[in-house]
Order: sequence, then C-alpha cells, then structure tokens
Amino acid sequence: MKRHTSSFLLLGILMLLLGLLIYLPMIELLRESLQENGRWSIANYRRFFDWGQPVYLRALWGSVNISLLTVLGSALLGVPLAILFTRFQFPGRKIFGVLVSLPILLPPLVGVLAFYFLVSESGIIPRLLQKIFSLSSAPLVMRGVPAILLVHVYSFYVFFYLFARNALQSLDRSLEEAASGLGAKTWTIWRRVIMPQLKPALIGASLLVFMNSMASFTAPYLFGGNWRYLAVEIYNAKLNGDMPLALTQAVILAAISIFFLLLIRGYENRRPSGASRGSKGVAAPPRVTTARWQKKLLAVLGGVLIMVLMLPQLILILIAFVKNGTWTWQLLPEQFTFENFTAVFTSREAARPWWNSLWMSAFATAGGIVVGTVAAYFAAYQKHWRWARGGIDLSVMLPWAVPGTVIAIMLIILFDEPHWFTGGKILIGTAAILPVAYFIRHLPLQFRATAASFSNFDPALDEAAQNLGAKAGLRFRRIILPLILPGIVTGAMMAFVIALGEFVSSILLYTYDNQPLSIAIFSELRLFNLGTAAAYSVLLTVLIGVVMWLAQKWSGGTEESVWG
Amino acid sequence: MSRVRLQDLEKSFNKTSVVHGLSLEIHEGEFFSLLGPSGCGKTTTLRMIAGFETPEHGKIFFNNEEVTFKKPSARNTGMVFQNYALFPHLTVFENVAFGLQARKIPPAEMRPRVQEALQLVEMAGMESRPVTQLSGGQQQRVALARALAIRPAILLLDEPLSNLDAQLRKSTRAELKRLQRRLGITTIYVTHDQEEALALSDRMAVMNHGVLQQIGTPQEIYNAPQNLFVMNFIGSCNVLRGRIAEQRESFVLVVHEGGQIEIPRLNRTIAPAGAAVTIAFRPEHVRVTRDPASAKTTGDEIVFNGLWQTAEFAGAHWLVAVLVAGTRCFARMTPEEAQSILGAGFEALPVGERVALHIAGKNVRLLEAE
Repeated sequence: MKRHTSSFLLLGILMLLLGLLIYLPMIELLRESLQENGRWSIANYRRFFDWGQPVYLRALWGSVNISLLTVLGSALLGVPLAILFTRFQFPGRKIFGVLVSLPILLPPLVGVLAFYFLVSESGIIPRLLQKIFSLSSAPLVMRGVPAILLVHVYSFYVFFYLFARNALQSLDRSLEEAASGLGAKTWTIWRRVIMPQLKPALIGASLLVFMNSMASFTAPYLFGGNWRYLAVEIYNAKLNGDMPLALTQAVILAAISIFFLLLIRGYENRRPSGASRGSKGVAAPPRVTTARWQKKLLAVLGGVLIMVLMLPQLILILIAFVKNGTWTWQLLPEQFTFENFTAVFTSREAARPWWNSLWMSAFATAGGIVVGTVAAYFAAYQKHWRWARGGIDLSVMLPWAVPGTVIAIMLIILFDEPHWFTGGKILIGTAAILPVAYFIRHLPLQFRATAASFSNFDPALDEAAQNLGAKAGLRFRRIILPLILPGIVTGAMMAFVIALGEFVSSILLYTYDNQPLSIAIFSELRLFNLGTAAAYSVLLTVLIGVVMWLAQKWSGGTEESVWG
Repeated sequence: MSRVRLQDLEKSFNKTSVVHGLSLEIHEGEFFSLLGPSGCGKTTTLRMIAGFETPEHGKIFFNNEEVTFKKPSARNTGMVFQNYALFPHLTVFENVAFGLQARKIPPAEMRPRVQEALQLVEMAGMESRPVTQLSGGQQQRVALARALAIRPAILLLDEPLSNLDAQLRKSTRAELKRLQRRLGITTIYVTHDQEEALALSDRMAVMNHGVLQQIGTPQEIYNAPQNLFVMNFIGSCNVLRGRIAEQRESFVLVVHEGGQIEIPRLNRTIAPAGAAVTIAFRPEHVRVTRDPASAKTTGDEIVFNGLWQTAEFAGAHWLVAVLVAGTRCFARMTPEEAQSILGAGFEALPVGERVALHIAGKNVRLLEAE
C-alpha cells in the first residue's frame, strides 16, 4: 500500500544491514573454512575430526567438559541462594538480594583479574595459608580447570539465581497449601510440588550457562595452562598463522552456540509465559522465621556469603592502591599510593586507552541505538509485515549466541579485503574495526531492551495520535519515542559499559593506535604493574555500577528481563 | 458536521469475514449506535470509519467525499478509545492540546480551546495533572475532551463507558447525551450494551456476525424487531414454533403445538400460508390469569393455555414461568398483577395448574422460522 512506502524502505535498509553485518560474515567464514588452495574441500574439517589424532577434538571436549561442570556448579550455588532469598525473611535480606546479582555486571577480564590476585600462585589466599600454617609451599593454588571453574561459577551462578528466584516468586502458594493439606511433608512438597514447577526455569538457566561457558574466553585464556579450550584454540591458531584451523574451529563453535540459541528459543516458546497459572494464586510471601536464633543464623549466613562473593572486588580495591612493583614476595602489599588512579587523569599515556574505549563504545552504542530501535520496531511493534518479525528477531539475536572470538574471526575474514560497503577500504588494522565488533556484539542487548519497551507500548496510543491528526514524524517524536526511551536508554547504557570492558574480540582486532581499556589492563598485568591493572579494573567497575544505577532509575528495573 | 455513508463494506481478517456487505447512512448531527455482541464487526466498522482499517471492498463517504483510503490523520474524526488511550507521559493539558499542536494551531489560540474542551467535560482546573493520576471517570472525560478539542466533524466512541462502574456509567451516559445534543455533532457509538444503545441513540444498527440485522430508532428496534436475533438481543422474548394455516383479511391463522391463534395483520408483511414461523413475544407484554376456561380471544388479545411452573420474586417485578405446549414461557408481572393470581400472601400455585397467557395482538411478532 502506498502509505507504507517509507516504512518499507526502512525495512529494506535494515535487512540489508543485517545481511551485511550478520549473515555475510557468517557465510564468508563458512565459505573460507570449506576452501583449500582456492578449491572447495572439507580437508579442514577432516583435520579437526581426526579420530586417530584427536588434538583439536580434545579442545572441543575440554570446552564441553568445563561447561557441563560450570552448569552444575552454578546451579549448586545459584539455586540455594534463590531459595534463601525468596523463602526466608531475615535482616539484610533486601540489600543482600541486590548484591548477590552483581557479579553478572563485572566484565569477565575484571573478574578473572580479581581471582588471579586471590587464588593464583602469587594470590593472597595461598600465601596467607602458607604463612599461617608455615608450609613449605603455598596450598590451595588454583590453576587450570579448578581456576576456570571458580571464575565461571562466580560469573554464571547469577543466571540460576535470577531464573530460580523469578520462578519461586511466581509460584502459586495455594498449591503448596493444598499439598500440605493432603498430608505431604515439607520434603515431599519440595520434591513433588515445587521442583517440577521450577524445572522450566532451571532448564532455561542451564542452557544459557552452557552457552555462555562454551563462549567464555578470558578465564580459560588466563588460567587454562595446558588445558585445551576451543574458544582459546581459535585465538591460538590465528596467532600461529594457521588461519584455516582458526576458521574451522570458529565454524564449529558458532554452530554449537547457534544450536543452543535455537534450543533456548524453542524452549521459551514452548513453555507458557509465567509459571503455571491454574489458579489465582497470591505471590508467595517470604516465610518469616520465628525463632530469633534462626534469623540471626540466616543473617550471618547471608552476610558471610556476600563477603565471599564480594571478596574478589575487595581484593581488587586493595591492590589498586599498591605501588607498582612493590608487591613481590611479601604476604601483603606494604606500599600504598593513589598514583594508579591519578595517572589516568594526569598522564596522557595512561588516559589514552580510556579515551579509546570511550569513543569506540560510544560509536558502537550510537549505532546500536539506531539499528536496535529500528529492528525492535519491526520485530516487536509493526503489524504490516508480520512475516518479517520472527526473522528479524532471530537475526539480531544471533550475535548474542556467537562467541566474541568467533565474531572477531568473522570480521577478520570479511574485512581483510575491500568491499563496496566499506568504501573500498580494508577495515582490519584500522581503528574502525573495534567499534564495528562492539556494535555487532552488543546489538542484541540494545535490541532486546528496546523490543521489551515496544511490546509494552499500547498501539491504541499511536492510533489516538493519528486520529488527532498527527503525522508520522510528530507521532514518533511526541508519543512513541518518549514511551520507548527507557528501554532504549537501558539497552544503550548496558551496551556502552559492557563495550568499555570488552576483551574477547578486542584482543584479536585491536591495533596499537586504538588499544582499548581491556587490552591496557591486560598489558599492565603482563608488565607486572599490578596496581595499575587493578586500579583500571576498579575504575571500570565503578563506572559500570554508576551507569547501571542510572539505568535502573531511568527504566524502573527492566534490565533483568534483558539478561533473561 | 458530517453525514456518513457506508456502501457495501467488506472486511475480513485471516479469511474470516468480520464485516459483510454493510451499507448504512448516518445523518448529520445524529447520535447513532452500532450495537451487537462481541465479534459482530461493530468495532471493525468504527475503525474503518476512523481509517485504522481499510475495507477490502466498498466505500466510505463523509458528506459526498469518499474517504475510504484517506489517512486517519486527515479525516478529522474525534475518537474515544475503549481504554481511553491517553498519552501516559503527558499532562491533562498536553493530552488535550495534542490534536491542536498536530494542526499547528498557534499557542495563543490553543490555550482557550483546551480550556473550552475541558470545561465541556467539567475537568477545568485539572490541566497540570498527569493523566496517570486520574480516576477512570476522569480519564474518560479527558479522552472525550481530547477528541472534542479538535472540533471533529464526527465523534467516534468505542465502548467509552465499559470501563466505568455501573453507577458512574449511568450518570456519564446522561452527560454524554446532553453534550452531544448541545454540540450537535454527528456521533457514532459502539456498544454491546443494549440498554445504553436504547437510551442514547437517535437511531441504531444491530449487527451480528458482521451482518447488519436491523436499523431504526430505539423504539422501532424494540417494538418491531425484524428477526429473532434482534428480538432476543434487545430485551428477552418467548418463542413458540408455528405454521401459517390461513391468511384472512384482517388476521392470520397460525397453528402451533398448543392449538391455533389469530394474529392481527397490522399492515405487516407475512409469509404465505403453509410457511413455518416463529411466534415471539416479550415477557413484559404477557398477563397471566388463572381462569383458562373463560380465556378466549377477545378483540385483539391472543391467549395461550399453559401449565403453571414457578413464580420468582425479582424485586421490582415477578417472573412467572408457564409451560405452553411443552415450551417454557416467561411473564414479567407487577407485584399487583402477581397478587391477583397468587393471592394476598403470594402463595405458590401448585405446579401444573392450568393458567392462561394473554398478550395484546400487536405485541406478538411473527418472525421467520430459525
């Protein structure tokens, strides 16, 4: 119809963009992986799936093994925490409940760094134990698999916590009352009534954690040692100049991730929204523990848990004030300084990675605002092209599943030659490539936040504005935009702060001139400037905290739905 | 003010026909209701008039101008939505002013017009309130003021009272009618509430399954329903099956399962002899007597013999159930009438007692058999 031509044009541009930035890199990656000496061949895959010499397969098993253990560990930590915070009333419950979901906001690199200071060979805990018990060597040193698992569980238990908490909160209490009225004991009620209702949430969280763990790069990269991890092997292959191998591994990892994305989506579509809605249940109120000792015990337990969970951040703060090069063999650092922080504001050299990350994230986020909003409009609001809705939604969500390492490899493959849409330039090796990578990686986040706003937007408001004589421009400016702005802002702020600390694709794509913050932290660590590395991490964390707090105020708390 | 003419409108969603062959004309300044059960196509019709839907076939005219494919924003209609669709981020003033801003009315002129609209709905003084802080009734008024502020040629109301509680609904209804009279604006009102439609309308259209059933004044619709659907939907009715036995000059002879009756012709067109018909009459037109022997058709009165079933007290009236040839019929009687058969103490009659139903001939409808 004539009156929709401009919309249709916009849809066309969006589809072209998604094609160029999401599908073209994927197709290029797949195509190149199927080539040998300029001819079609599956030699690369034969090499990977060589059962006689399973060098590369071992990396795949390494990833799968750790991911399965991560799921188990995250569930064992996250679910009990969710039960504790939804079912029991004790002093400090509210504030602990907020703190407990914080690790998800920590950039992976910062988390890994904190654990490095805490439990590595030179970590504080092993040293402390060695000193206290006068041991010849430091005990409890974490490296390899246990260290990776520790970091993974620390970052990913939040998924289980949030999923289980939401499911527990929406449980219909009358079902439990009915069961207990029928004579069931507490244990039976949990086993037969509550757990079956939590199953969808637990399966959802498991899939999500598995997918995230498979994609994880930073922890296996820093702690892995001899353990082979697929995401890291891609990086190593690229570094060793074995591009065909890097490509093949990237394709396999991408395929697994996309498979899990489809699995998660299929699962979400199948289960009814919200928990079972058989009856008009009242949301279960937290049980008030009557005995005072119980209250105290729970408060202490909660407090200790939070302390343990906060420990990594506290260590970072401590080390951030340590003078570089002064903490070597001593048990605890002895010389403290503010230099590590002030340097960022006084030294041009120290400030450069900050500026780099700030402008690159800003550009990526700005692009994400435009594309994410347009995509959300077509996927979650407009009704003229219903056929386009599911396709756009799936396309935009693809980069959410594809690991950062793979995205970086895709971009390398695509942009190491000139294209008409890059103005005939080669983007690899320029400062433009990182913003592009950030944009692609965090577009799903911005899209989801905005789409959530769009689905809450009542189309009758737009009709009312039309009826009052407003043309499309005025309606968008005065009615639609103000009402979806909270979603756009939340998504943009999250994308921005996550891009600030982005490490995984940065390490494959950065150039000396546009070295981002994460790479700077990493280099400082390599140079043993522990204080600087920690100070940057703390600053970044504070920045993230402030931005997230602002986003929370702005949107009234939609950010959790974005993670889910 | 505009005349509205719908010409042979067709609309379907996912291949199910929602509006089918709808033609009607709404006069200038008229209060016109579209009445029907949910899913009858009344809201779709309104949305086609507003321009939110385009018909697959047929034309829409405002006065003599065709607007079938005109953009909603260019039609100059004022619509009140069922959920009001007030802009939640704007104040009362900004909501009402929105349509004027869209029309690029200068601010100097805008303020008095917003004031005027708010005064019409008695909401003056609330300009700076956020609409989210208003009660349902107040929101409804703001929505009306917003629609009126643009001085629309046609006012479209989509069940505007359905979200109000019963008390408020009645008083708002009366106000709405007064306002419409005062402004003389052509108004199209969509509702599923027959009482509202009867009380408000100059004329009304009854729709079912996307098809226009009857169009007329409330009295015409109530007193002379064209088919069983209309008769059942507007009020309630008793239904007996019969067949036309003979056509006479002044009456028709209809046989039914309990005997035969003579129904006055009263200028109505009646099916030929032999045709199956539905005999329909309303409970409030029935008088019950205990003396079936003396019951014969006197003058224009029609009598059915029946067996007593129950009598229920319903406050202002009594609802009496009587079995006529195996079909349960109801009579609505005043307490005095009820007393005349039940006695001073309203004692129940024995079930199966022989009674007679009396209905004035003009109140018995002969409708096409279902």
